[in-house]
Amino acid sequence: MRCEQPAPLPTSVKVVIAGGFGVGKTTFVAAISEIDPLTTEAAMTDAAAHVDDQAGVEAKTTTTVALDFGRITVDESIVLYLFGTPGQDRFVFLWDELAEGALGAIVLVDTRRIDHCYAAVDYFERRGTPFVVAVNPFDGAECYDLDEVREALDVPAHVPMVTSDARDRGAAKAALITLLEYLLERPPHQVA
Amino acid sequence: MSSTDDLEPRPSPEDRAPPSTVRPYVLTRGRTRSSWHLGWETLVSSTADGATTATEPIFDEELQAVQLCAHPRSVAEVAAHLKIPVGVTRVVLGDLAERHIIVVHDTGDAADPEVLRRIIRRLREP
Repeated sequence: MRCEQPAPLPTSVKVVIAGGFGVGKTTFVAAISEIDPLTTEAAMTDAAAHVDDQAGVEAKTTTTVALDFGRITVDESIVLYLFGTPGQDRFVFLWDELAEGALGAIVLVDTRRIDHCYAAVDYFERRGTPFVVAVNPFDGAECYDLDEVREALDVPAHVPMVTSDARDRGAAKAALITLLEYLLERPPHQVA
Repeated sequence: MSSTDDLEPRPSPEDRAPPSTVRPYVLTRGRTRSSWHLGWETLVSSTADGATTATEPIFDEELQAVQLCAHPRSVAEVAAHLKIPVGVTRVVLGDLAERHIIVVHDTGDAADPEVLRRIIRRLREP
């Protein structure tokens, strides 16, 4: 009774947009998404469900965290999703879900608060998720040389760093292309 | 920067989602896991058969999910549109997949250079 599929079902891939609180992740997603960024929520219990000592905890303690995401339809068979990570460190538990199977990540850096992206850099390095660093120049912020930022972040020389403006579509696209080209150029054994 | 970036966690989502007629985990019949691998980005779509099967009495949210998935949608999109948490959405979609009302698409191969090249080409379009 079932009809034959006329074409293979489209598949999806994702890229994670990370960085500290208020660095412009949602702005970045909005700049390149073909849809207005959507917000979805995850309950703390989604992740806490696996933790044994949480077993007896009443569901009343549920905390939700909202995160924004966008979509780019690449062609008839591939859809790319961009997920902004929740900004605060205490939601790192969600990052595993977002990072799992991701092509890679873009870590946005605000030069006024470089330390705010340490958690993201550490996380992706530890997990082996390939990432690039996009430095977002804020009005009035002191201008930093990219090498200075690299030093401050202590990221290896092979990790690309670009200056980007989350508000600018072209600049946001360029940062994403930098990540994708980096993924193509990496030796196969480095594939996470 | 806009204060809407990185929304603070809230004790309840009531400020933007109309209250659901059922509590989220009623929708999942108390379960917190689905046997299907459903990532945030995993696409699902309604099957041709499912469109008719879905007229059976099911939760409103399930029906909405089926209608929404007339075109392929990610788990995260379904969750956002239905205003229910992703964890709950997964279980709901897993149930629908179990009943062949929706189909779960494969995830793209992140290691396939052709996938990366096609995305780059797309991004370079004006």
